[in-house]
Amino acid sequence: MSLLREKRKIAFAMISPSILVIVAINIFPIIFAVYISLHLWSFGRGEPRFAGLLNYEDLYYDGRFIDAVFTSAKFVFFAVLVEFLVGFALAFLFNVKVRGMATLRQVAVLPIMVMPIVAGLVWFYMFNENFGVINWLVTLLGAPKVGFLTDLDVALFSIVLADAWQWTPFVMLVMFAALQSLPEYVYEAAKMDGLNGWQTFWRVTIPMLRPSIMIVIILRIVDSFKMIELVFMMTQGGPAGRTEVLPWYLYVTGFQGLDLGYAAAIAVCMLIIVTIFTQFFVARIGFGDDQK
Amino acid sequence: MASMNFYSRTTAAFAVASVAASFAATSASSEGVLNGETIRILAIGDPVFQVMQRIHGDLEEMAGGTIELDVRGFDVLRQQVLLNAQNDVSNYDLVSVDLPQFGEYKDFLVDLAGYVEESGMDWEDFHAAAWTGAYHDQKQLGIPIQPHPEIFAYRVDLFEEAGLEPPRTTEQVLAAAKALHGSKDGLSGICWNAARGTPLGQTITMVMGSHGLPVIAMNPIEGGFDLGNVGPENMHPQMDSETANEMAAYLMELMKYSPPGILNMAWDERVRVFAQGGCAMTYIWSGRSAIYELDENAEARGNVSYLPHPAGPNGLNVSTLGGWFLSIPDNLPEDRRDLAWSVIEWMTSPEMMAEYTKHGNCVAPSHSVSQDEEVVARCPVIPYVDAMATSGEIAGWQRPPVPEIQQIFDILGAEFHEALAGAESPEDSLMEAQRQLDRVMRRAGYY
Repeated sequence: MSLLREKRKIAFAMISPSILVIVAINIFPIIFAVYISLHLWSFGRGEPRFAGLLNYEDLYYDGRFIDAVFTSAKFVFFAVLVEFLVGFALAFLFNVKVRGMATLRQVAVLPIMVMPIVAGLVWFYMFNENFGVINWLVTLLGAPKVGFLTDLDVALFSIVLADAWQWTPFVMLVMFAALQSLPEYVYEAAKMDGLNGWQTFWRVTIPMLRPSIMIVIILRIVDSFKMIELVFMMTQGGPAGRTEVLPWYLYVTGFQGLDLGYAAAIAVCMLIIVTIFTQFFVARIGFGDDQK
Repeated sequence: MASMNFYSRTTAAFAVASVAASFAATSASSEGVLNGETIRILAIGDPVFQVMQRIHGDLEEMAGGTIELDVRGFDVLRQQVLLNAQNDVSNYDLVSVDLPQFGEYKDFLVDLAGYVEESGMDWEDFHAAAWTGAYHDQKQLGIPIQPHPEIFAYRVDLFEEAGLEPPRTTEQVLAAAKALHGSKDGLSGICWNAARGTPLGQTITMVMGSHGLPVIAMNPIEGGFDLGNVGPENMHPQMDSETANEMAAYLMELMKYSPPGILNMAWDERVRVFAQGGCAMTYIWSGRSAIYELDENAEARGNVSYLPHPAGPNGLNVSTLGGWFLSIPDNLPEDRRDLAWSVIEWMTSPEMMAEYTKHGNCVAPSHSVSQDEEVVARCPVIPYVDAMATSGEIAGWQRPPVPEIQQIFDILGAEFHEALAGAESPEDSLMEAQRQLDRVMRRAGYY
């Protein structure tokens, strides 16, 4: 018994540095953000004043915050949808054993290497109505200029396109790796059972890819939800707030307005939203195993 | 503003440059203002400091010491100035301060009045609006290094061709814009800051000023409003006023004669479009005229004249002064303050101002420099600004120096963008802006 206790002590002593690091890096900032969110605190203007739930109450009535939540949801939905569908299709394409495909695959992943802020700047200039190459091409074709970044109905999709350009290769890469790891014998068995190509895809490939699909969707949802660089460089939330995603509103409130209490309340809400979404998908990663 | 961030964080490069340059500088140490010492400056990525970056080696040689120039983007600079103020000892000898920021920083900047008097600095040579812009609570909190107004530029050739008079009122601006818009292939009436957030927010504050009213209820004084004394009773927003409606109607009209992409146009982009012949008129920070005046290929070069902000129906021809001052943080140890002051005196001297113009900084807040023929040849805008300063057509009250100024810009720029984009009526946008500004002031505890 005492030996077991001794072993536990040693084990605890060995993992305690990791626990301390996790507490310092992950847990403390969250607790501190919650603490700040309960205060009125404008940076550089005196000490924080306790305000209870006032910041959250203000958020409830803040139309701009509510709009930003919906804009974020819309952005995440379309960005992840496009990235997943195109990335998934590309993964299958690159999985075909054809000469030159390996080189093409290497080229296709290049956008991931670009810094998001640089990608934003490049897309800003490409979409620009006065200097942009895309509108130049549009006018060469005799069509009127398109307000890629200023049209109420188009701007968000321009940002989705820029995000998809950068992150579709990531989805492709993960799905490609997952496809490569699928065992050949399963397909042989499917063939022996008389499944055609379509049936094999739906009944064999997709279920076996399910964990990878879930992981890639979780990663993309979390990452898209945090996206700020493209909005920063391309639209600053315009036109008329149509691209004002939650991180941008948080940035404007916290880092321009320096209203730290209110910004912390936004951050806490963001954390809750992203946690709910993530857990929804995490719970489904092992779904196939539960059925066994 | 976005582009500002690209000029930031050059410290590392300059640290390396400083090490290399320090040997040369030390050898010349007996001559310059630094006398072999090091000065640490927290600066903004605006033209004058960009010039200092470009001529850093020469500057150190002139100063006879090491200049650590820490250049930041606007938001990061503000955060760093505020963080630095909380230190027991300042990390910087000098900080750069934008004119509307004095209200926020006034409690932790050194009063320079004593130094000015003792050194015999010719303060009357500075433009009066620039000098008094840093005067708060009976203290001189900064010395102008790159203050410049947002003025109005128009293409003289196009106006003459169309037989139009220079526009001094908003009504004349609209008439000229209407006449010139589309009169040539790719020509729009007017360029301005209409991008969402700070750019549009600043436009609103300045245009509302030229309609005769600041965005908050400042005390009126002769010829304007009292910049140096803004108390809690002055913090009520005025977006529910008749003047705000007039301002809104003017901006909505401007939209008709604006170039493509106006809803995302800000700062240098408007000037570049103007420079390339895309607009017949533009609102412009005067220092940015270097973009076309120093570019031989610019269509606008040599064809531009300048006016103060055109006045609204009940307003004044008065341009908004903005831009940068050098200040000393009050947590800088006493034994470094004399050195800091000497550097301010040197960097803001007429000789140095003229020097900066050689490298693309078309700003000279000094009457004597504005009359220097070589400077005028390089930067035609400078005498225009000097004339405006002399005739009292430049002021700083349009952008009130209060800690909430950035929130004011953001709210106005976000809410009124709804109206410009056609998503909301101007009346509703102003009402929502008023409501949000009121909330900000209440949260800050002003009333």
